[in-house]
Amino acid sequence: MIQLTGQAVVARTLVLVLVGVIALGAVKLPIEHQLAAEHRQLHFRGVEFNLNLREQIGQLAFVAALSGFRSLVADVLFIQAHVAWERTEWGRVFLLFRQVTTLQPRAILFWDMAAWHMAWNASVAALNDPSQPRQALRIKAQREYFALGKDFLEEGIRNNPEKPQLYESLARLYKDKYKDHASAREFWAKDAALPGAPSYDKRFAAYELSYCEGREAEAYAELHRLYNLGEKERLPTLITRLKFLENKLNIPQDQRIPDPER
Amino acid sequence: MFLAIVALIFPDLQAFNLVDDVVAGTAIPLALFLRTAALGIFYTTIYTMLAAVVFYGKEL
Repeated sequence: MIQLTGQAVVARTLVLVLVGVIALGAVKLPIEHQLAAEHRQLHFRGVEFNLNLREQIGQLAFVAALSGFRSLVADVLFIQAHVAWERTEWGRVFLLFRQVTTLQPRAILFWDMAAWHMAWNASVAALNDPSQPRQALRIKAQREYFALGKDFLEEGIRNNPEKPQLYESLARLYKDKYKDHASAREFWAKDAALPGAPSYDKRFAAYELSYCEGREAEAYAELHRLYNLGEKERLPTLITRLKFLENKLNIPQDQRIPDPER
Repeated sequence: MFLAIVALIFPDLQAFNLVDDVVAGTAIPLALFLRTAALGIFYTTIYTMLAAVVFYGKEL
């Protein structure tokens, strides 16, 4: 009789606890969903632990990353990538930086460094590759490395859309490597619009616009607007580009800016 | 169905995993930090109470 009562008490307790857990679940789920949505909005939780990552970083590193050592694994791989760069093993540099950026998609330095190695260092090495006698193939390889650098920066921007640094790097890549002034202008303008962007970005966006064929009037208006902001903006390059556009657009003499004092 | 039950019963500890973003220099908004801390206190209190109910009177 006593044992039966004891069982009933245990059963009642378990039912109570189960009801409590389910009620708790009903309360906590919306809060958890809201927090998760906020994390996604702030671009936290950028790493998905799936088979793709497992294949990229190997089993041991994957287990380490799962155990909460993701940033540590990324740092070790970054050091390995640096060593590979010193040995000019460009394929290995690329693979290691892919792993590093996959593990730490919110670290701007990794994206920027990866793009720099590909578009600036590996591309030059490919162009001067003594083992490839055909120039056309060397140029092709060079352009492939430009594209890899661009891919790193675009992916980095997708993961960090609120940070200005990668927009600037992409603008530089378009300007220096592709000689694509319209795209460089686009990314410098996007960069300039972000909070925390350097003050020179808006000028650089205007400079690039001044190199775009057919957009001289737009560039002139923008440079003139910057010029009118005051002495601080009247820097030598701005004045040079403005003078160039005044000549190109045949601006009347009385509307031109004064010649800089020598 | 199974995953829904798991989500209903177990706490989402991933909500507390902010260390990688802190390492990367990302600022955690104060409101988010306070809500996460409140969720932690909520989990601790409720699960401790449930554990107390289950283990009450047992010889441990």
